[in-house]
Amino acid sequence: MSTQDNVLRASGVTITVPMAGRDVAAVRALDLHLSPGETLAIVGESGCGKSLTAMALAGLLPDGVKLSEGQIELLGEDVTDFTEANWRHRRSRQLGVVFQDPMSALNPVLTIGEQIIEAIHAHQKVSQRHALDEAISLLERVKIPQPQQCLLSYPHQLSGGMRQRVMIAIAIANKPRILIADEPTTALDATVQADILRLLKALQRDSGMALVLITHDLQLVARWADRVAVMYAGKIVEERPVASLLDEAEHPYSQALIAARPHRRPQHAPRQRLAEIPGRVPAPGELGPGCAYAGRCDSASAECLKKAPAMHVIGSARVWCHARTGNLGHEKLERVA
Amino acid sequence: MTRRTQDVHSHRQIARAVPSALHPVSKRAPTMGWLAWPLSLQFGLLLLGAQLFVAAAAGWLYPGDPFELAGAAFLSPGADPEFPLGTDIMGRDIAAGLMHGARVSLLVGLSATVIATLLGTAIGLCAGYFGRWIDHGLMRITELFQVIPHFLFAIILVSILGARLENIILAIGVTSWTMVARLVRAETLALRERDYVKICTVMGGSHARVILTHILPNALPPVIVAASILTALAVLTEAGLAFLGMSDSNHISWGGMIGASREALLDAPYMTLIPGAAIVLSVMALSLIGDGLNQHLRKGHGK
Amino acid sequence: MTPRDAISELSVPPVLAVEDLHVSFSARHGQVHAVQGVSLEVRPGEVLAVVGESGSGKSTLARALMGMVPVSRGRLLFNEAPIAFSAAKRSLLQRRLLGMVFQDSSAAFNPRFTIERILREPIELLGADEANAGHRAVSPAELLESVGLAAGVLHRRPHELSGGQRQRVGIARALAAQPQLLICDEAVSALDVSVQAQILNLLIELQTERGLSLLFITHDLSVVSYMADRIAVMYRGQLLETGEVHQILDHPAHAYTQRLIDAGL
Repeated sequence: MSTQDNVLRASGVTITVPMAGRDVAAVRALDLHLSPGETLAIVGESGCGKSLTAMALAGLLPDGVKLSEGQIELLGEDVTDFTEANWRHRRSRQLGVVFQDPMSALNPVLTIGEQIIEAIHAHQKVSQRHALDEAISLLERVKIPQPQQCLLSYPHQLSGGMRQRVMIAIAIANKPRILIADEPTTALDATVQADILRLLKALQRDSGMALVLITHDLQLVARWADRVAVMYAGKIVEERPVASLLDEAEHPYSQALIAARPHRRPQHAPRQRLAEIPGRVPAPGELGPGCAYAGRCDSASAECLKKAPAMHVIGSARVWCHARTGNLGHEKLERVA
Repeated sequence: MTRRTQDVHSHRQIARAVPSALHPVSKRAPTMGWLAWPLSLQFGLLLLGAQLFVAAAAGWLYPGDPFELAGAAFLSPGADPEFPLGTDIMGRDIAAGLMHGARVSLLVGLSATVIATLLGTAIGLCAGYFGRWIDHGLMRITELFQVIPHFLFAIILVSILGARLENIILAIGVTSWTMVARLVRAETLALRERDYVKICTVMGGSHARVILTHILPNALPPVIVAASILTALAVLTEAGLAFLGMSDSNHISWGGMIGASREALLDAPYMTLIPGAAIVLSVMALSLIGDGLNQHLRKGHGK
Repeated sequence: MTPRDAISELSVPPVLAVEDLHVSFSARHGQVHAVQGVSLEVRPGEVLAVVGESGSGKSTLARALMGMVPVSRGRLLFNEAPIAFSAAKRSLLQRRLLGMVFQDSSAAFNPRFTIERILREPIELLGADEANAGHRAVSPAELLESVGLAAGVLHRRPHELSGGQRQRVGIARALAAQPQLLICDEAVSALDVSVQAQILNLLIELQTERGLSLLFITHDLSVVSYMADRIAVMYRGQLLETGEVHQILDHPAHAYTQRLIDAGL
């Protein structure tokens, strides 16, 4: 796929956060691309930098957190140095954002109707009547029963699932080309989760919207995404089509994550211990020159501590790992506990 | 996402994205210590410190009786080097009065606040924790005290009990506890529902244990802020009472000085302005401390 | 049913038996019947998972068992002996039988307490600081060790620990008086997958070592399929079905259970 087709492209993105007086890199040398209509999942555990990445892509980095290196292109336009004013025009029209906790993203003193109409009016010069009709049709699209009643309700009067659907309705009000969803269903029941993702996929089919799905849930990824990027300690360690994720994951961390999931116990045999990953995630300030995962990795060697792995293509995947790409030196490491 | 809705995205969302490793591992006082405190807090403490120093130094700098007719009356400030702030209608040294008066306002302010805080906290804790008819009864009493104008109530009490320092402190304390009671009750109602409180009860913790070890310490931060505001109000109330002639005649008070110089208000304004300025600075110091504490404590919890 | 199950069913009484439990709250618009006529039992040494969506009443059920919420009707039996609904009316021995681990440790621990103080509280209140009934006295450091934490943690405060560490402290606290039944209310729901694996392994280890029974409240079906011996499915306060884990997963009796399984797995 030529780069011309990408609706979103990040190259060499490094995001720094202020920590004890210095700026420490929390996301390093990130490369991402997204094609029209595609669903890219960014998966990782707490502290891996996936939410920061989502914020950077949406231009919502908080004060003090900076994009210190790299470039982000939105629909072919370089948005790396965009100011708030530039972003305001593009967001909603081209880029929609859905956050994890709708209660803090919705204004508690405005009705749902007021908030949706506000979103519509931000980019479309239409009459109040037209905006109202639009709002109702949006709520219908997100399968909210009794949309008129919902318009008059306040956020606290709705259930979690309904609020999340409202957030999605607001995000798609101006038919964005890209939707960035950061843990959109983590707070919801499994059945509602399935409904919402089905809804997002249907929206994609109808409008060709691309979706960036940030989550920690591998199950969700396997079921709903097209491609997945696994992040660890601020870097992408593996990126591949989802169909091959569970069976053919290459990077030791991806494999460890997959192995750590609880699986159905055997019927007539004792439970097998779940595979734990020893050690803990290094903090952004604790990283050395080598691979961040080396300290916890079964396949690590001295080379892994010295040099950060470069990207290699293995089949349809991109992997950043010395062990998997035959770059190991001769000394296999004793894993430090 | 429009600007308005986007602004509403709470800091929690964004804070969650920032690696948790960035939040300091231990919540020791910030390594920069008191320098990191809000400016209002620093400035307020400075002013209060100055007042404390003045009060302490009074006995040393002006060992005599400030009520003594020390010199010629109506001396302007600076006219006589022996009386840097001049003298009042009767010839009393204003500087001596100012310094000794600092003691009274501090004493009354702080003591009355202690009474009000203790009373209010106890009532608020009981009302919030036990609920039902105890809450009902205590809140009706609180409302009764809230409805009567505080200053009038203080005047009535002092008139009945007599204008002595203890009675003034008592009167102010007894009329200003309601704010604390409501604050503490609100905090208690919320804290009572926390899992760690419930589990203490479930494990067999007595009411006293639960209230004193779990609820009270966690309900304190807003109380501390309220206390500083209460102290400011107490200082003002005392000054007002003194102005009306209801001060302890054995102890000079800033309000009393203003009251005593009432007749010379237009001819020699310095007699009222100087103690008046002292009151303003004192109240300002306490208000700044209250404001600064509020900021400082909220900073620690906000995440 | 295997011969093993049949034998265990015959000989040993359930650790916990719930009979026709009803819990209601009065809310703004009338009564909320959070738990309606639930009857179940937890056998010695087993893991019973209680699953359901939000509003199903599973958390309320757990709290009712602990004596934290008022019960309007029903019976609770521990080792076949009736036990009062309210924790205040339970004897010391009865209070030691149950321990609970919460999901959100920010509400589960007093934020001003050090870990040492948090662990000392159940030790003191439940009399675990004295040797009795066959158990030695226990110290906070020992409790930490039993859940794989170093003694250095004792001086920290909850917010200084990671999510996994906090859950371990929660488990340590629940185990202070050697309970027979551990209630885990969404105890691993807020954890990353790798940390969740550690905590689940820990729970199973403890269960095997001490013969604990586990009442595991969760909405995560993959955790259920791994942990549970039996499953109880709740919906809107009612118990829909109970059964052995493989039986329920493969042949659920209710369409709702099937929907849960389809969505979750």
